[in-house]
Amino acid sequence: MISLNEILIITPELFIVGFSLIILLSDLIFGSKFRSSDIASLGILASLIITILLFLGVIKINDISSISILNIISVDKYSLLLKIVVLLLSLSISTVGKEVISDTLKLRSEFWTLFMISLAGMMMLTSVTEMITAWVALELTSLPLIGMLSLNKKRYSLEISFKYLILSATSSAIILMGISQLYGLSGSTFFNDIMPLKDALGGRFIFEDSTQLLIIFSLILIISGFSFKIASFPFFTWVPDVYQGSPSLVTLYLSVVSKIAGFSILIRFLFESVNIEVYSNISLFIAIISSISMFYGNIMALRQNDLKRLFAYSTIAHAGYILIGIASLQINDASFSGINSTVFYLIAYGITNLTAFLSMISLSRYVDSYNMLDFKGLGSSQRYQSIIFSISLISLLGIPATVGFMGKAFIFSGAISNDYFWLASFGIINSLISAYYYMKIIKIIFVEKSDKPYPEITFPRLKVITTIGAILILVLGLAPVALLSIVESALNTII
Amino acid sequence: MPGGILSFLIFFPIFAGIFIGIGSASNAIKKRIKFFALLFTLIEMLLSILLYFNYDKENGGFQFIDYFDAWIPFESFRAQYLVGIDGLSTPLVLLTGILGFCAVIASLKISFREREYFMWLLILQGVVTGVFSSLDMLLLFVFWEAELIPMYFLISIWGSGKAQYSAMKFLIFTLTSGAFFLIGILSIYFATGTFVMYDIAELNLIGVSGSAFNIIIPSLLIFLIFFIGFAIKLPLFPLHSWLPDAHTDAPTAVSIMLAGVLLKMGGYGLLRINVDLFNSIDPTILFDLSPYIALIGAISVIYGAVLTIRQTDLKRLIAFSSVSHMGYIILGLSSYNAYSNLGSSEGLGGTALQLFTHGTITGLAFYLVGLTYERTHTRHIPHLGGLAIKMPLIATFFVIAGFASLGLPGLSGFVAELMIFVGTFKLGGLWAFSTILSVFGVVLAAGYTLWMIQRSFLGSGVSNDSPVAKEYDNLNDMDKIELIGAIILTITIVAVGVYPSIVTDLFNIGIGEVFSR
Repeated sequence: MISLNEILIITPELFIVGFSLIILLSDLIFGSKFRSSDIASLGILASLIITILLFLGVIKINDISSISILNIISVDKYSLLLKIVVLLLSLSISTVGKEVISDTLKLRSEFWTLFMISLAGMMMLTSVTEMITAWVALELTSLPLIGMLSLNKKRYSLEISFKYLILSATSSAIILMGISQLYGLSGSTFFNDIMPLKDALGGRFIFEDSTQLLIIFSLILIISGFSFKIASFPFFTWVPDVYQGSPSLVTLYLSVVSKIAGFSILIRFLFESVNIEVYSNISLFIAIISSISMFYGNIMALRQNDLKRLFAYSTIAHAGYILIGIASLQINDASFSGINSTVFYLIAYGITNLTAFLSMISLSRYVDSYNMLDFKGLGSSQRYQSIIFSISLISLLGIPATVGFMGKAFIFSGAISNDYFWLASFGIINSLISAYYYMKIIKIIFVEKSDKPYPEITFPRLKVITTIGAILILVLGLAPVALLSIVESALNTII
Repeated sequence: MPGGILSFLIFFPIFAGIFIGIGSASNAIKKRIKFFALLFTLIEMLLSILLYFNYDKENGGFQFIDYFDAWIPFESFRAQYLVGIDGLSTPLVLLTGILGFCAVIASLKISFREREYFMWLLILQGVVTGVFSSLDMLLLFVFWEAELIPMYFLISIWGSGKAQYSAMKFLIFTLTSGAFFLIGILSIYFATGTFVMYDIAELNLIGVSGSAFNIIIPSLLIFLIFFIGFAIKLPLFPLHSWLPDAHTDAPTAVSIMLAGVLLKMGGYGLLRINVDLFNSIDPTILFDLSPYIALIGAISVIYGAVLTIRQTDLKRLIAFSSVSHMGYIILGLSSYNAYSNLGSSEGLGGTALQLFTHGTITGLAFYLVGLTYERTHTRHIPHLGGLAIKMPLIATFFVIAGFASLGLPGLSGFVAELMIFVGTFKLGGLWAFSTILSVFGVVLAAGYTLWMIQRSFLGSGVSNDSPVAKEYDNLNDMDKIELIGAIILTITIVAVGVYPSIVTDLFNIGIGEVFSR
């Protein structure tokens, strides 16, 4: 039986779901007088506070650091940390929602309802420890997104949401295929129970090798399926089109929040369910998809002029960098390299990408375009926002004194210490390639001149949030200890 | 000297730059940006001179150490803020201080977006000082890469010609160099477990068969990774193609910093890591490779010199002569003798001295080219001529810089080159062959330098079809403040030429310690 106490540990999720209903109802009763985005912010804030209190241990449920509901959902420090990150990023998105969202979407409470439901799915993803539940949570994040993509009454909307739907369904099916194979082999869907596969399988198969092969095959299926969420090879073809065509807010949500949730489940799944012998085989596959994602993303980004499309390719490349860390997760060794650096980079990327995206959106409003050639000379008229944009781009590129550099240094260290010298070299080569297009943007903004008059508009909320982001980028870049020690303490609970 | 002085030397220009960049929103500061920039760099220069003469030669070793170990304090990934200078780096910190001041003097005529300009210039100076004083390799790398951003903006915004192309080229080459560097330091870290350079010496890795080193990556590979990384930065033939472009299109002050200090980062890296560090990891690597290194050095000398003769742009000419002069550094490096301290002291000492002297000589040359260009608005040599009549002071200093560059005895270039030749020639074989080749580089240097001076400064005046002809009568000489910069650099050149031990004492201490570590 599930006791009330156990239900309480998912209060943050319940808040989010509850508020999604409130948004829908308030729209029904009061009409559009209420700003849905602000109600959403309120709900996320409430959920965030509870999560932080849980993380700090101020609120204690029972006396155990991590507890779970029927072994399906485990609320440990790892999941709480990532929930905090996901909630913080979502809070930023909903806060700027009022300024960023287009008029057609502004009045739609459905948008924010779907947003909240999807967010609840993301939060679940960080803490599930059972495969079927993980799959359900994954669907919970994807299905509302299809709605969000098509709410915008623009030309491409339907096409994009259809594209997203089809690929989402395909990847889900592939994940399900992998899950059912693993279930067939191990007789369990719990992450922890797949681990001792080899022993459990004892007499069921004549050839042990073939079992091993089947396990690897099903893991490959599952990882490929997850690649849809994290925007890496092989399911990455949707990314550029969807990023370019969807409303900026949805792009932001896909690129920042959805990615972190996808990686969080992938890390937990690989870390808890796969034993070291299998992992040494599967990590080569991860290394390969990582290399392909990096090279594809960076090379394709070189020739893009549309910033949203460029960011889409850059996000594919960054998925590749994070996969370097995942390829070098150390299964039995609790040392720094590997998982800590991956989670560090994940959070660093979340902060950097959010700042970059929001600054880009803010700047694009002045020129009413996402074409980078139109950004000419913005550096002198919109100096403040341009500087913040440049800081975040430099962090994405990974130049020292920014958090992006520290993240990359950790990731590459992890790879080298795990005998992935070539993968680390690929990563560094890719940073080099990416220098070209990131610096090109900075060059256009600051070096080139333009006499065009710009509209007198200000975005106070965007300014505040991007400022916080830029400060975090620099502070964590100079003193990564602050974040790293939090990550380390959180990961101790699942190691 | 009080503690923290070295950290002050690093961070003072950075914060001063930020102060100029942000603080100058107020009008009072805005009007005096140049004054402030001069003041800040003057303080920096005086401090670096003070530091230089306070270095305790009796005790040697790393001095003025500042230490803060909670930078990344994790057991499996530990890096600390650790700065300190020894005999090798102290003169280079001094060089940075001097050239930083001269660079500001050279840019007093800047009027376009000046507060950003001086912000980047000051930040650049602080960051380069950081490179020369970091003892933790990760910290060194942080400074190494952080130098890129100021340079990129300085070249692309205030540069001339194909500035944006050159800036991007510079950026990509330097990032490549940094990438090699990063792979190298991470490999060393995971083999030894420390980023601190002198800690690695204490691990006694030499001769330990099957040490962690050769298991992960062969030490020869790490050596080559570092070597290529630094050779790009130096630059060494055939990795030099970014240098002429960056120099030609950069503003004067940036050329001074680029030739004077930034190239020295490559040389310093070679001495600090490929010689110093690898002397305590596996001394045979450099020793076995050294004949080939000598040959590459000689090729670089000759190739650079031959290309220099053909140049018609003053700046491009000096840039190519830098490629040639950096070849001597590689040649000197090859005199490293794994088994004898005495055997390699002249060659390596000459290499270190060449870093210093080339910094001052080329710094002065770019400084003067900058002053000339401000007046004539062209650097095209066929368009110039007879400038000595109108600008006698500039011409005089130019002749001094030229003579020093071609290695005239009594000026500093001679000492360094002689030390290098002596060090390598006595090893015989391929070394001696390379030395003989390189000596012809000096002949070529005399050729291009004197020919350049003759074509641009001597003669009776410019030809009539030159664009300078109209303004020729109105050309004026350098003013007093510009004279100060030229005098400071000339004093350094002459002082080192006449009494070399003023610098070589320190370098010899540094080189000696490499072998006693």
